[in-house]
Amino acid sequence: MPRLSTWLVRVSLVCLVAGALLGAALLSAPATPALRGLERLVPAHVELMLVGWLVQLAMGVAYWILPRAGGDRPASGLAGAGAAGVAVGLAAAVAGTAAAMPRLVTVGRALELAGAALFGLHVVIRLGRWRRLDLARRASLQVTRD
Amino acid sequence: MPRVSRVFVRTALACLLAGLTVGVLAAWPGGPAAGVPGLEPVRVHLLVVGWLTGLVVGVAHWLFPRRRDGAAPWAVYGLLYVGLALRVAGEPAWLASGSEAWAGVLAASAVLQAAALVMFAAILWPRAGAGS
Repeated sequence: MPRLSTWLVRVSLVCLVAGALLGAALLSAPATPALRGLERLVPAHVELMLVGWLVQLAMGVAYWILPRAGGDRPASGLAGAGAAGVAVGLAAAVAGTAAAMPRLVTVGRALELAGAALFGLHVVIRLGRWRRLDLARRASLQVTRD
Repeated sequence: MPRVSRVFVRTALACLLAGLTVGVLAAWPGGPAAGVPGLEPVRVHLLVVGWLTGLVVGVAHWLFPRRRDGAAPWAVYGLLYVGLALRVAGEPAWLASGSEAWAGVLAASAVLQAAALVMFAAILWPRAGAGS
């Protein structure tokens, strides 16, 4: 597994644990008076579970497992920058929710979007290069057969 | 595909159908579940925890580089889905009654699901770094 995938999967696991513990605190609030008043952190729980856990895990697995052109992962810098953008944006969005700073949440979500776009560009370039190599390989096989 | 993964995937599919069914009931004015509180959070958690997370956990156990995890994945399965079932039953019941007993059921559900996901993270952490 490439290092970027290991990093993304482990960050997603940290978010899973953080989001699950926060969710457990929210769900336990009716039985635990000390935990009441946490409702304002529901958006942070959603952010951690959707973007932190599911999105980053999918990015990590996609970077690992999508087809490679000649064993190569082209434009991997874009994938790394995208992963960093999503992680920093997520941290800003969660911090903004916890600190009741809506502008920080907006900046965080814009960074998540920019990061996802960079990662998506990496995927498009990678699949395009793989497709061209695949077509060339099929053509050469056809020539050999003829 | 290992047996625990197949069981996770089948249970996740059942949760997908259950979540979509609850969605229909929640949006049906005068339907059989009209007036039942808390159907929206139940629907969201059936879809996000029962379907998406259950599917991811099952596939991850199959896909990631293998280690000997023993019975731990089965413990994750039991904790996650028993916890989710308690929530599905407990949240509407607590909202309708406000009783402390149902609040306790919700707290138990929270502990079980959190324990399952912490255990899953501990299982997958070393496997995510294998071969890098």
